[in-house]
Amino acid sequence: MPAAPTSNSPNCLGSLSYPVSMSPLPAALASDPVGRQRLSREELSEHQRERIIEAAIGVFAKRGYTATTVDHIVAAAKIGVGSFYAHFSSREECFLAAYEQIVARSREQIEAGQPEDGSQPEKVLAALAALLDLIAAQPLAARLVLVEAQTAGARALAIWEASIAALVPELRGLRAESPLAQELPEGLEVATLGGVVWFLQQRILRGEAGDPEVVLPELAEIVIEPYLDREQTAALLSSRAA
Amino acid sequence: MSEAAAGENGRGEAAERAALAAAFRGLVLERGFESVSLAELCDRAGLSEAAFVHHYQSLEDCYMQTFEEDAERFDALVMGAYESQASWREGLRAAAYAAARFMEEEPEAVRFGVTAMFTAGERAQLVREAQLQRMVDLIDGGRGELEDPDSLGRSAAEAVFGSIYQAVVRELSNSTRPASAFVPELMYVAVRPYLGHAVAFEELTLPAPAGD
Repeated sequence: MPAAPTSNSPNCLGSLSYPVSMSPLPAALASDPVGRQRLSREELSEHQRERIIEAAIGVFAKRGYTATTVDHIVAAAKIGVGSFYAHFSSREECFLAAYEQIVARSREQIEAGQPEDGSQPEKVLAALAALLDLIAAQPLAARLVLVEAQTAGARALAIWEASIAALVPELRGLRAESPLAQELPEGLEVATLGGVVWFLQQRILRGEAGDPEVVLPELAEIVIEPYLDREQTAALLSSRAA
Repeated sequence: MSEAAAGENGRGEAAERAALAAAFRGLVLERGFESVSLAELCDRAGLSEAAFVHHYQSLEDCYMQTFEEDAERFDALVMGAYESQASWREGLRAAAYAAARFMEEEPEAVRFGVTAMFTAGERAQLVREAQLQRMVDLIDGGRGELEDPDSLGRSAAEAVFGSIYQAVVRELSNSTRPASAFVPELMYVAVRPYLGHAVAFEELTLPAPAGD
């Protein structure tokens, strides 16, 4: 290790005059110095896996799944190919890991935003608002899930289908609020989800996340109005804004 | 285009094109555009490379022409059906059944058109985008049925289209029922935002139009 530069050494920037010897940090600040405490092997490995996934999300979102290669990912992650293969056996495995991570974390965040004692319509509306926030905050991750996943092979498509299927009961719960419940078609929830997916995909593809003030009411119209009428949906929106 | 013109093996020009297009679609769907070779394509179509060159300048050209011609054929059928009816609702239903018939008769053309979204170049994307917007316009026409046409945004029509599109994509991979079986429920979804639940509910029990 080269000796630390002092004001007299040739490596010093210009001629600064400051005390060369500095008193040591107080104990409280010195308790967790960088480099002094080594991360365990598992933690380092986990960090690296996370970094690869983060870089991969950017590459998949910008290039599209089919055009992305492992070389693109390692370049973006600034690692060697060997390090990639220590974590993932293929591009597809990396994609699936990224996809599952995004979905799991999004689900946590959406659940965290749920009103504790809310009605089902209030919960659905809160979930839609949380989803819009997530898309605005993480557009690349959003693109991976909403645009790329449907074209990234059979396994990604299976995860996609399962995610949609898991949301159906949440929407079906709205039927309890509707006097028309007996007459609503069997496939309504799946159709509604299809409409929401397309709606969000189009905005992502056009690069316009849109003003949440405008977009949330549009989503509420699509998702909630089949169960509540227009006035009730409007009331729901304004009580949320309050 | 002279349909009587004799191509190879006594086929007319139109039949040659159709054979090449069908072979092309099949190969692209099976193995992706990058893997398609001229030799294999012509072999599959039962034609010579000279016949290919008569119709297309390159494989890319074949892709674009096939894609655009499929889109035009679909458009003509669906728009024609829509315009044949007096009201928006009747027109939409006629268009829906025409689209379903196309899916039943030309599933490969539909699959090809759907995958083209992800792999095709800029020009195909523009053609596709224009076609999608025309379909959304057709649905959005429902606002004319509202007391206040501005009370609903175009986003409602986009979502309806999305429901239909996602249903198409889903059914392409696991088709258990004919496409026309989906029309009543999708008509409910399309009609409800504009004409309300009671009218939309009627769609669920309307029979398909008499066969052709």
